[in-house]
Amino acid sequence: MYINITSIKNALRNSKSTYLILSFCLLILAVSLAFESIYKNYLENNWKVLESSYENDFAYKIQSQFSKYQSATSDAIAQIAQSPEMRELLSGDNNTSRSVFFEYLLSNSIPEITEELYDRNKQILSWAGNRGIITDTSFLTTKVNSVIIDGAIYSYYLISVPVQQNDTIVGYLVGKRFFDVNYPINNRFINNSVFSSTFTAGLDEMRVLNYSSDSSHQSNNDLVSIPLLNFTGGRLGFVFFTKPTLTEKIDVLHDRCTAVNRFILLCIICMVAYKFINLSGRTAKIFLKLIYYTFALWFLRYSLIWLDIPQSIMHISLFDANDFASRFGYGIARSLADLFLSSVFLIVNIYFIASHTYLKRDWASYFSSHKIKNRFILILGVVLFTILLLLLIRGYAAAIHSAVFDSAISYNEPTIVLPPLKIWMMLLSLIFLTGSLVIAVTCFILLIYDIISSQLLSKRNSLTAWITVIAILIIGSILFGISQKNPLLAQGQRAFLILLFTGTSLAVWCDREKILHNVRGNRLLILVVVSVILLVPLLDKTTRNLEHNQIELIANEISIPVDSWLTFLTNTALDELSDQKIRQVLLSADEYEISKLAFSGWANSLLSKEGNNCSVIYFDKNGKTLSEFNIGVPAEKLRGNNAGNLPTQRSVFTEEKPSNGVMIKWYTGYTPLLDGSGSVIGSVLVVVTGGRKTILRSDTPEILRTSISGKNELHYRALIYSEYIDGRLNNTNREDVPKDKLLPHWINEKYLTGNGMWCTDTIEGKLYDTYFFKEQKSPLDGSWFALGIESSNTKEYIYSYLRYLLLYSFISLVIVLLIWSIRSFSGLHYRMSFRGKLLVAFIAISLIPLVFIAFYNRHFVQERAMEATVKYLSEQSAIITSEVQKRYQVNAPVALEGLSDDQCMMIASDLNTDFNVYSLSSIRATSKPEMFDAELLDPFLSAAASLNIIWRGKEYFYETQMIGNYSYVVGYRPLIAENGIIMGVVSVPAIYKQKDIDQEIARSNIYLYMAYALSLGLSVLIGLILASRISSPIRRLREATKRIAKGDLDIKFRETGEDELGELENSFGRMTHDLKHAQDQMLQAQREIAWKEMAKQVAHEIKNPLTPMKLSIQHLQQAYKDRIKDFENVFHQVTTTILEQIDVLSHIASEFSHFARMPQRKLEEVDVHTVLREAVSLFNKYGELEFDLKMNATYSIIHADKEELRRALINIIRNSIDAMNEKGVISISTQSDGKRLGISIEDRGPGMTDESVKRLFEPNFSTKTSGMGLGLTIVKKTIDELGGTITFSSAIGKGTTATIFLPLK
Amino acid sequence: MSIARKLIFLAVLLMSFTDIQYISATQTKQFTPQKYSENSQEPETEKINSIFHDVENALSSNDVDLLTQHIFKQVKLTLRDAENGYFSENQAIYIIKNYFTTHKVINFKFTLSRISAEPPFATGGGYWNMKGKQEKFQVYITVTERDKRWVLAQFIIY
Repeated sequence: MYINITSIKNALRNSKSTYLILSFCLLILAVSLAFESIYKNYLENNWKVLESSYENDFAYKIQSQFSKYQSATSDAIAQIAQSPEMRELLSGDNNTSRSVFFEYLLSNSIPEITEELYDRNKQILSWAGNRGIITDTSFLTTKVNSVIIDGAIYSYYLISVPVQQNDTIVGYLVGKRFFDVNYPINNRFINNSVFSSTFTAGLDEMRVLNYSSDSSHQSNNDLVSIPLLNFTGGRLGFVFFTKPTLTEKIDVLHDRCTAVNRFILLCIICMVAYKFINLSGRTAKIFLKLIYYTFALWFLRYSLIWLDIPQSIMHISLFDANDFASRFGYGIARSLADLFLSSVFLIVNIYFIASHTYLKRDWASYFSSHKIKNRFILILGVVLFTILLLLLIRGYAAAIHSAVFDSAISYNEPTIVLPPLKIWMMLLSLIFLTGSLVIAVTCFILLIYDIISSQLLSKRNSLTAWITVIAILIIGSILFGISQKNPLLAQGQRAFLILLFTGTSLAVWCDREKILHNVRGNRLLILVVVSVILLVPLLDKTTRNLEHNQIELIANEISIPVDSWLTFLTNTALDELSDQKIRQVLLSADEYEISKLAFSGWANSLLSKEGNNCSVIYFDKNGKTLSEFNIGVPAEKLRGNNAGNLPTQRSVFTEEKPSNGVMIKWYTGYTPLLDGSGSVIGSVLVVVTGGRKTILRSDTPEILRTSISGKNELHYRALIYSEYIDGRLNNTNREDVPKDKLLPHWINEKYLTGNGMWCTDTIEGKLYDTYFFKEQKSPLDGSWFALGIESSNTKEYIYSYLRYLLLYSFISLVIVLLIWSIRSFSGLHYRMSFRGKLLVAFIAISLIPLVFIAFYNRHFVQERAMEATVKYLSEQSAIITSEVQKRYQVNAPVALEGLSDDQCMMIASDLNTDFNVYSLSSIRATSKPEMFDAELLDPFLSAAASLNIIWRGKEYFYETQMIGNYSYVVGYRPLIAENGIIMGVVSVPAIYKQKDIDQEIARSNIYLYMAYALSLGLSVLIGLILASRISSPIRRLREATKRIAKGDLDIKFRETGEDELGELENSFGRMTHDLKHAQDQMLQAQREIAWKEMAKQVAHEIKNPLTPMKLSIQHLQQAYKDRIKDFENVFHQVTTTILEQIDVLSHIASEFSHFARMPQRKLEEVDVHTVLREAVSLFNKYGELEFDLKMNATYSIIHADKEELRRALINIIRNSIDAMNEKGVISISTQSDGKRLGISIEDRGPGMTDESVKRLFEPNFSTKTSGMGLGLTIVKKTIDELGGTITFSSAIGKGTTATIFLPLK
Repeated sequence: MSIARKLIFLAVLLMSFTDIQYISATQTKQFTPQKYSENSQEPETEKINSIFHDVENALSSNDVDLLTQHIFKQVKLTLRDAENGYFSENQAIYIIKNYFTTHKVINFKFTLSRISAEPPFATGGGYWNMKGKQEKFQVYITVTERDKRWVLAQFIIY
């Protein structure tokens, strides 16, 4: 099956169809414009009616969605609640162990739903999943009941199903689901569009929904509220969405109509572009062909940009500028997807140009046959092309620089085995750009070579020409580098590229000149391999430059004082934390809401976006703390400072305090909160700390970050920050840096004011690329700062290269498969050689087990990482449990009650591990209170941990937990009192160590990648060798068959193997030898026959004139004997006759001599057009003749003997002249298809019969009264020996046409 | 047309085209802000004020080019409900342009500026129309000196 695009093409070629389609498109466009105008008027005139209709329609859809949501949850819970096992369990006696309930629920857990089991007295028995907030048991009724409860971060939907046994309620099963996220958070862990996306999924209209338990928003006229009802018709809360506005609807209408208009315009533009491509295909002039094609492509590309297609149709992140954007080319690279499209267009264009010039034609012959005498113009041409070539290389370096510096893509992320789509897209774009550069530069170099070798050098010498080319390019490169202010490439790098490209050009040239057999026909492969080799190191180097750039950026931030910014931040936060909503909560006296005030205030303010260490505290009017939220600021220090010392008016001030030997600035803001009448109802304190270390990485956990940030973090490589005072290390963020480290002694000597310096520093035997700098406001004091990153070692370099090579190999395979599929579907056949098939087969056989191994290894690495994590957690939890008990004497439940968050933070700081301590069910103390304030971690001990640690008494237990879409491992150990009773549980979550885990996975991946790449490389290499060796006998047989077809039976195989193919070659050799022998004998016999025939013919022809000669002499003799009177006349007649017959004999001898002659041919490059013109010029003033010459062929060079060819053409022309009696018009025309030259000689003579046409090439056949009939036989022999064909077509009364085809050189 | 003329014509055409692209792509682009004087004699305060003035005009008249012309090499962007972080000049220009396509500013004014602060900053607020809804927004910008000229260092919308 193949797609019949031929008919579509034909339709487009047909002008009439084109105009019809064009008119149709314009009609649709007009209709669309009219429709938009009419519908807009309709909306404006009927908006009042339509508005309520839209609102009601949307409200109905939301309510339906909610009904389905409720029913699904209810059914899931009811299924378990009404099961016989559940009833039996709850009906049992009170001695049933709670572990049984835990086990039952855990074995019947439902995804996304937390289950809580209560007994008949509404006491909690067990649970499964994250409990989150405490359930208010008052809503557990005798019937199914549902309610929505608000937390600080989440709202929960709860459904309660009573468990009945014999009409008696024996318990209650509660299902709890996350309903909404109240916190403006959108990172890789949690997405705040949970509620919206759940209820708008599948709807046509995308609208932001917000949930609220009350209807206070009803006072806002822009919002529509829909009540959410439970099963009994009770109100659960309200969903709010913004009212549809007329402007919004008109905008939607306009967007949709614009999309249609754009599509129509795109169709029109595609038609125009196709016309130009068609025109390019039909024109024979290369220059015009290339111009039309290039214009068509870039006209289409820029039209897509102008029409904003496809981004206006496909709203995907690949069209956003945050991944990549460049202003190059007036918008062709304004996003990642645009870059990809443009690179595809570019490589198609470049390949088209190259395939019509250097990859197919022989410009050397073109140049040699069109000599330019002016050497100045030639030299100027060489110089111009060299400059163009160097500009192209520079432009490419700029493209790679832009791909790294103008993008947020992490190219060297080793934790990811398979990169995401955006990296694939960028890599594909870069490989296309590189391929375009390689093709273009190779063509330029070959062009320069051809100009030099065929035009500038007096004697054609390839070696001299190549040396000259290399010298010109190297010198040009050096001068180019010197003249550039910002060369982007070092001289050495540019020289390497020049040599690489010259090598590529040399390989292509060898292929063209058929010098090396093994590279023949592999020009494209050479270009692809060079593209990959070129791109990988350049991309890697530029990426490392970016890392340095990022470090300098961080250094700049550290060195510039940020007083004004932090002061502004504090002021702004204070405004946000004291707004109307906050005051309303305070006045509401809702204890739970007030307890969460600090966190929700922080979450909704600029503080959370910026991620600074800070603290937010709300006080009541008496100064008592109501709510508190801290990140990185110890609460003790705050209380110590602020209790009883609160100002009475709003104020913002700064103070500097020591912390762990370092001076930290505290930016403090305070404001009283007043009600409507001006009375104080409370106050808020906000503290922001400014420390240099916090710029590197604040203590805000990534999970609490409110948005995905730009490229500030170097994901897998640790950054070392150090401070030096008077040459000695004063402070550092890494424990493995020795405290007695000294500043390198040469730093001060080389310091230039205002500039930082890069150097390689050694710390504990490891090398670090370190950036040393000073604070901008105090450059002359003795303090220095340093930011260091571990230097890349050889393993990492090799890993980078191999990773890219693997990816590119995969991409190349996909492209080849795509091209094959397209050609198959289009009805074209993709011809792959036997060697190619063998190679693909070998690689496929090697790859299949490699893929399995890769999958297994990936699983293995993840398992190993998991094992390492579990082991780490086990060790840490043991140490922490011991430390908690030892340091704070937590050996009894009473002591556990007294354990505080600050005590936990101190242990966590000493041991560098965060942890949580639970009593038997709920959180007691933690080193990360903000995680619980934010409700990201469950304040209740998980069901599985309860079951295993508390009820089953295990010493250690671990499980995987989820936050949003993110999973992490948690390890648990029991806290055992002195009397042996379990009084609590210590948990150590791995969530804070994710970066370390990622680094470990990264290290494992490095080794794996190297192994994969090595395997693939070896497979390809061995496959190439084996395929070549196995297929070489077949190739030799193929070549031999071709030679036999041409008549050459002199075949000898030099080396033959001893296998079946070897036997085949030997048999083939014997067969050809026998054939040759038989052919020789046959030829000999034929020659003998021919000579015999010839001798007969010669004898016959000679006899003809001899007879009249004899008769004439006899007549003369008689006349002389008879002494006739008229003897003089007779003598004259006889001598005339004899002379004529002697001429005939001489002519016969010449003809036969020409026919039999085996001339010494002088084969050379012959321009057929020149020969034709010369032949025609011989007959220019011949009778009343006219010649109509049409030399349509753009290329007419063949390999022939010029004189022999001329004679053949003259013969044919003379036959035409004779046929037309030397008057009339003879039309001579040529055309070529790149492989053959066609010559047509047409006369308007009387024509010939078919019978005559068939016999034209027979010796001695002639339609003329004179001549030997050998002319055309000789002509055919000449044409055949040139590898061409000659045919005649004729019709009586219409004339005859001779058509010759000759192979082009 | 003779071969030589064809060659020269082609070369000049390609050079012109490449030159234009080269100028727009070069990393050492010497930008000239439209309403910004390069007169090195001008006091620094005037230069900084000029930037604040341009940003204010850019936001109030929805002419983003007035703002983006003061971005050089790198800028820190914090956009409400959107990107947050350091972006290159090219990226930042497109991100800001795309952002203000969906957030149509109705009015804007700087209420506070401190040229003597380190770094100099300005802050202000206004209203915009986002998907048919009018909302209040606040802006905070700082400027810094790079390659001997004052440019935007930080652009925050909250």
